[in-house]
Amino acid sequence: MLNIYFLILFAKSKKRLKTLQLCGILCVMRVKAKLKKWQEKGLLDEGTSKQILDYERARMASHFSLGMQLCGGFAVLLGVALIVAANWHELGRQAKIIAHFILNISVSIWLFKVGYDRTKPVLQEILTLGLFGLNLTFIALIGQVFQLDGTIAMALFVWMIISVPLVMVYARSGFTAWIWLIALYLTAFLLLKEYGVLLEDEYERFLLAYFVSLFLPLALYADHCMPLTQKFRPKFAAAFRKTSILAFVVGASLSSMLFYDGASEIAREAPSYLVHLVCVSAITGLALVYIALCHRYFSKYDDYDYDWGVLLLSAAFMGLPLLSTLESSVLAALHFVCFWGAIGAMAQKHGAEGIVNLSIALIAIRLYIIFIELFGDALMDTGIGLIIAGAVMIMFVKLAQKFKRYIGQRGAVQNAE
Amino acid sequence: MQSNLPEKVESASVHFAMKNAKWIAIFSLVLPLLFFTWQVTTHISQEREFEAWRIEVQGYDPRHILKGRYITYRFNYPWADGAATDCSDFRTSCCLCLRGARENPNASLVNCETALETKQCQGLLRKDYKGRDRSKKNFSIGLTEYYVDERAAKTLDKMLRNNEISMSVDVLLAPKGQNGHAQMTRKARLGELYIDDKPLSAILDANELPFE
Repeated sequence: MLNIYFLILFAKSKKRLKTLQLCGILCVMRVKAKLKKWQEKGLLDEGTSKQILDYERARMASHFSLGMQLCGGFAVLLGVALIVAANWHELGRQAKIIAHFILNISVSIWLFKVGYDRTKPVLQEILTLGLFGLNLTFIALIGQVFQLDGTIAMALFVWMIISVPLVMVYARSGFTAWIWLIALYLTAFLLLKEYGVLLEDEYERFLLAYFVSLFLPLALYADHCMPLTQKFRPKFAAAFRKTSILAFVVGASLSSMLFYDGASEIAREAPSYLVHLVCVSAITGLALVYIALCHRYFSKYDDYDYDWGVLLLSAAFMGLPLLSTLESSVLAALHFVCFWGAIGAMAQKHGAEGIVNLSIALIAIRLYIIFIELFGDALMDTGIGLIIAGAVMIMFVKLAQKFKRYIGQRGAVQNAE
Repeated sequence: MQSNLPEKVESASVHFAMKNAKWIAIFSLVLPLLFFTWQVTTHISQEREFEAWRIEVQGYDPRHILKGRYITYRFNYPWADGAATDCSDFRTSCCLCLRGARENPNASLVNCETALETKQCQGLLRKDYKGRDRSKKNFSIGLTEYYVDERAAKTLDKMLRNNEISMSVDVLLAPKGQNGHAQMTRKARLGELYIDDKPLSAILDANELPFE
């Protein structure tokens, strides 16, 4: 109930409502600044610029409205759940089961009707999310009423299995897609954690975890490329693409940490180093082949060269630290810098300015850290390290600025041509 | 990324989805309902058919993460004299064998196949050992958490750990087979929980919590 109260309080205050709208306004302002810049450069005429701005304003307004309605729906559901929870002991077990069943049937029928009419997309989204949540609470209720000894991982697994068709058929928005993806990754993580122990030894568990962490995002990415997903669920396709690439890039970046001590420990768990080498190479190689085959197959539908390049690079960089038993902070930094250098170069070629800036910033920070690591024991050494790191960072920033100017000039020349 | 998909995508899956949209929609809504119906009927029938073996429990730490809703305990098996109490001799085939009265029966750990051949057990629960737990001395059948509503759970949990009350639970096992001897089961369920030999549900229904 507290949530509903806060939501009403929040929504009633015009001042706070304006704060909520600020996010949307900022996005429009960013577009506005860019449009002004392009107009000054003569890339856009005033009419087109106004049309783009009007479109963005309308889009942000609908985003805000949808977001607020979804938040409202969620708060109502949470409120109802809390009221039921507060009076839980008053209900008999049959009453709980029957009431939940009736609730599920009612929402299902309502959703079917709304989905059939196709006139209320926001209501359809709220009902889908509601039913998705009700499926989970029903699983929990059965576990509670019949005193089942199930695990959270198994409950989530069953929930995902029975709810996949529902989400795929009725959900449309990116918001639902992200919630579903978070639930999917959480389920995969908990399943690995709880049922991975069923495997004979720790090395087998590592191989399973490595395989799943590579192929789950890859499967989702391939799903994003499918015509069915692209045509009927474009928001889901976009969310699949973003999470998969994010998972791979973050995974490859974090894998450099294995050069500190992780990889040698994993290799020690293996029956022999040769077995470890073969297993890691085989899984990584399989992922690379899968990426290459998917790229070839889906290139007939769209141009995914940049994405597949990032995935290929990330998979290769994820496997690299696992193949080595060397422990070195310099190698860890080198791995990270090379990875982000390559990502930056690909982004530059693709025209993704944000990623180029991000890669430069990350490389600079990583170099800064390695200097602190190398010279960080005594005060004197730390001082020298910080001076060198600072100098290197300034040098990098200057180089980056020169590089950006060079790109800008090159772009101008190409435009002139 | 801007999709360059043509307006009419030539794909068998797209055509199938468009042709059977209504049935796919019905299936997506009916599937969870069918699953829940199957689950509820299965558990209700198991509660009726399964045989209850009442075993004493004792308090145990660490407590459940949702403490205040669950009582956490471990079984205080009444081990039969001279019976094996760890599974290390039986490798992966290790069963909990229950004999005698349904309340506080004699318990022992046996090789599952031998127990089935010799028909020495009235209740037989198989515990599969995998991974490093194989040589674990403390046999566990799981089922060590009992959901109790918030009025009683926290206090009962505390009293159990402080040995202020005696508690036992019904472990439900698959019924006997055609020959009258125990069927081996891999899955056990929990039945009623008793406080000083009185069912908890009856205590809660009558609002007779002895510790309030």
